[in-house]
Amino acid sequence: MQKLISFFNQKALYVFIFVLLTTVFFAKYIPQLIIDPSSDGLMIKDDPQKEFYEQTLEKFGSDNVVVIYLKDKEMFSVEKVQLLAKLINRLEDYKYTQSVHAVFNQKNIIWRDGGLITEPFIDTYYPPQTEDEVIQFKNDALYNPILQNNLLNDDATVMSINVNIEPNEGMEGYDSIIKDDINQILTMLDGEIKEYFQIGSPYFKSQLIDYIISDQLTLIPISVALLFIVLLISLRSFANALLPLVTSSISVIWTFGFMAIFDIPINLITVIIPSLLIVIGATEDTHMASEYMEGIRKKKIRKLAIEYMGSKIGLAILLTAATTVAGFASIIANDIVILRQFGIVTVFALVSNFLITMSFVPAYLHFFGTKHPPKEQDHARFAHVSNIIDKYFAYISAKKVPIIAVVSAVTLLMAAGIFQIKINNDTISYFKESSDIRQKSDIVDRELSGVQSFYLTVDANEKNAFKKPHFLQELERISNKLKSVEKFDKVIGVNDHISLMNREMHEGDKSFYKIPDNEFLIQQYLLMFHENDLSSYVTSDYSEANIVVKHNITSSYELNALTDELQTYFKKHIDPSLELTFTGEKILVNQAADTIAKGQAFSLIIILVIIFILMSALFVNIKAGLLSIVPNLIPIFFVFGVMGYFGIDLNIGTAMVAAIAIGIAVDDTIHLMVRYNKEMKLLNDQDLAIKETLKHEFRPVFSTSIALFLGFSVLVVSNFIPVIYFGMLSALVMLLALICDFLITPILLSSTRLITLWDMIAFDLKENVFKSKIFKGMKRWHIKKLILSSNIKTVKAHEHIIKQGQRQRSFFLILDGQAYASINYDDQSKKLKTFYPGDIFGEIALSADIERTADVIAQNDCTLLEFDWQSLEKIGKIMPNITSRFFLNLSGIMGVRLAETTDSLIHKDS
Amino acid sequence: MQKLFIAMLFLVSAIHLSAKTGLEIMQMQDERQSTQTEYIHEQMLLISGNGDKEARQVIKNIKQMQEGQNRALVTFIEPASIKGTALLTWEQVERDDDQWLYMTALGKMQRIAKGSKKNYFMGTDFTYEDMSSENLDNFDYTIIDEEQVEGHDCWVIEAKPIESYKKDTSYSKRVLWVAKDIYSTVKIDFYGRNGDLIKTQQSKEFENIEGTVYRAKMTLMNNFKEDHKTLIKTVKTQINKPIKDEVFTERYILNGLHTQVR
Repeated sequence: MQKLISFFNQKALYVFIFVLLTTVFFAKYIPQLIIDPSSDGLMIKDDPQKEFYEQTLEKFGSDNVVVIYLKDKEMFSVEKVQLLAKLINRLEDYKYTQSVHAVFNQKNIIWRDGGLITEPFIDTYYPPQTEDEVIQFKNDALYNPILQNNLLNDDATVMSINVNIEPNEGMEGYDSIIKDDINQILTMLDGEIKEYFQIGSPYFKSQLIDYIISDQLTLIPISVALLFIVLLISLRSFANALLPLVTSSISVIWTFGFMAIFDIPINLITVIIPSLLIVIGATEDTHMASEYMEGIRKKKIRKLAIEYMGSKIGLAILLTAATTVAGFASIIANDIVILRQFGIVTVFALVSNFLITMSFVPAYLHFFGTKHPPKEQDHARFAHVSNIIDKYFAYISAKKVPIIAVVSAVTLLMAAGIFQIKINNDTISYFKESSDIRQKSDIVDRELSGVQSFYLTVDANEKNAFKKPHFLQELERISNKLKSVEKFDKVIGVNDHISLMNREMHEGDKSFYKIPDNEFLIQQYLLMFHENDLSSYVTSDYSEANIVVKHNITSSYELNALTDELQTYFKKHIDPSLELTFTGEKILVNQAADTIAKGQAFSLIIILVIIFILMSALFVNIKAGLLSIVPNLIPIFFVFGVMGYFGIDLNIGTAMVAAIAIGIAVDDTIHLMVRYNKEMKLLNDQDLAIKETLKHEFRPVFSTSIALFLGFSVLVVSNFIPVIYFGMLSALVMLLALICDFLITPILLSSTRLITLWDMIAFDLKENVFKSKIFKGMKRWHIKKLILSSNIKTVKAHEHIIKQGQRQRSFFLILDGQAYASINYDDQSKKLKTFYPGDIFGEIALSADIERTADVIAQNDCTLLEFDWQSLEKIGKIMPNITSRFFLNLSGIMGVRLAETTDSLIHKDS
Repeated sequence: MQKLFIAMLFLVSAIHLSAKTGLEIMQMQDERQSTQTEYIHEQMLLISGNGDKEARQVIKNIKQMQEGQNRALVTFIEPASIKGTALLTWEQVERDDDQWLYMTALGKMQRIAKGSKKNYFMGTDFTYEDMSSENLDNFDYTIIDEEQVEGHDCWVIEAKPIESYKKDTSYSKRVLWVAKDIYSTVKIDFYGRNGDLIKTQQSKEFENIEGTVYRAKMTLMNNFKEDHKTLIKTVKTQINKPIKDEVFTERYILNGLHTQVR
């Protein structure tokens, strides 16, 4: 890494040119970037049910409907009826209209004046001229059960006009055009109709696009401003504070270009990528800029400061970048299209950002890096912080058990909240209650039947089945069951039309509002309809019927639970030859809700496994893997608890929190662990090493956590509920992870000695050490691991390692250098033996509390391993298998030594 | 010079066209094609947008009464489920026609209170208006072109409702192709109230029934608006054969005599 940074420093100009050209390349594609307001992305990828839904649409008509809501107490006055008739004509004439459905042009099937009427309620070109005619129209409309609460409310003060719009997927901005044109047409109602507005698919989609754009226009500037302020405070250099913004902006351009090239749209989730990228991407730059500042303080000149920075930017940055990317990558495993796209794009964005940072930062600093070192007052502050940390650590060390007990208890309590989490993928619930779209939708739900709808298709797999009483009566039973559900506002099927005809052919006798038993009568009634009168409710071959259900349920779990319950009921009570399928955009999106939960669990497992494997491998210790996960898993349980207890649904936004947040939060734990490993090598004392780690890492860990906390908090201003909760909960994780890093991590670290893979590879040992009797039968890898886990001591030439007569229960192994043993008696000393690398000495003292029988003095500079019971116990805990072999060898050596001593004593006596 | 020649040609053809007015042609057609009675046995094929088909057979008895107004009885004879279902119409002057619907399964005649001529007839793409005899006073007829259709030289006549009749028709205009040789309408384009072409009726295989009376053996109504078609094939046509007045009565229908095929 150091070499790479040094290389980029030297080739700064080339880096600039390369980054510039690549940025231009990606920027070129940005105009092709599309905003996708459809709910397709919320569905499951390649869902076979989607195909079924599309077929249903083909059979029973489009779902691209503009709903015009009208409210006026005097709706049925001559003037207003005439105006609305004119409006309907205008809407029918509109070039993208397929059909218009309003009370006015529906078929009025009614027995009146001694005869049957089967014509539209009114002729919109020649609307009623008199009060009587209008009253007649109103009474007829209120009498029609199919219109009730559908196109007209109970007291005829609220009306809806449904305009089916031609599908035109390819046309750019189609939904906005429709929305604007319809609004333009509606201006004719200004001052005439008290309250009116449009809602429905084109409005919904066009509004969604507006919200997405508005999100971009607010989130990006706020993120940029916030980040800049945080960086300016922590780095105290304008040029350096600007740096993360420059790299983030470049990454955003690359990412947008990437999205355009691969046809990934901006949708209600990918909309947050730029602001996320600005915040998350800045962490690496911040670390680098901060090391550069340290470099300037120490080395004074830019070039050397950059070299210094390179030497410090190593393992930690690479690891943290990897875990963050892994967190986002785990989202790709999701089957929900929108989440998969989010995962893909963020992985590209973060990898690009990492590459840009690594190459561009040295180049940028080469030209623009500040030349002024930070003021010395920082050091006074450091001393103050150091003092506090000493006291703090002493406190938590003393209260280890209660702290762990309290944290565990609270975590378990919060984790219990998981069972109360509800899954929701309902699109309407993605908007704020205060949003225009939600308010309008609520009004329509309240005053008329729900804006939301789904279909229940009933397939008899038999031509003309729905001309037969049996099947129609089954349909009627299904329909009645649906009507009995309070949350369903309106249920319409072909059975309603036939029942209505039956009633009116019996002179309006209500008892005849049912399917007749006579098949011929049904077929004769059907002569009164044109195929298209019923095309929304039955196929032209009468083999398949469609029940339209309008409702106001805005939560997936509620709708899913209801449809499941109904499906069970129908299985029991309805002719099994009928195939019943719930379908509709809502149903598909809702069904994806379960996939969200599965995807969330899968992503979380993936990221945990990745972090565990990575950290276990890196620190050559499974415990290290667990240690990196535990402090970050606690906040996740907390977040789940918060969601459960506070009723925050699991949706496309909140489902991402766990995996993403853990990938980011683990970064600080890694920084702490890597630092601890370094300090441990230097200080050889766990408590001291932890204190030093906390002192040095407090500031960067605290500031990045706060920056991330603020960065995620920015998302609260989004227009979309999933984004808001994603931001809030992720911010919460950042805060909780910070607390855990300073509360739990030190406690866990204090019982662990960390060695990194790098240490193992780089550790150079004399060949004789490997051949030492104490390591007999052990692999080189295990020998290295054992040595690195022990106390390494260095002793200068002629210094004492052991002093005769001292009581010291430890023994030594020479790793490098030579030492000799000498015995003192009668003021004379006699050199007994020379020890070389691989030799051990003083082992007898380990087994018995006796005085040292000789001096051991370093002949030259020596590196030694000292083993005492305490250290052996620690190693035993970390590496039980290796240690048992070590003890076996040790007892062998001691046995031999005992035999030798006994032998020498016998010889001496004789 | 060339321009002047072309202008002259237009003038000459205009004079030639104006030799007969649209109304005159329509009147001549009316004279030539009208009958005292008519019995038609038809096969109907209703074709939905996705190609689904439904076949029916009907017999029509039509009689011009002394007042000049028609009485018509349309009876379904196939399929069995609708056999006997009938619609009896008594045309009226200056007021809505009287109509009664007979459904065998109900066993009684039901009066159609307000027989809107704009409604589709029994699920076909023909409205009652399309099937009734045309009152020439209700329209302005203008010859707009001459064209050959189905091998016939035709006058292309635009029929626009007069102001007072606009309310009673669903069409802003119709364009009729009237064959010069047989004075029969070969093709009609129907334009909706908003001016859009909504359906086209095309007839072929004209057969001389008697004298100047010609009837098409095949008529297709292509309804663009509803994405639906109705094909009518004539099995038998008899004209000016006596049809008793009692055929057009409730008693006749209730006795089940109306389903008799000639």
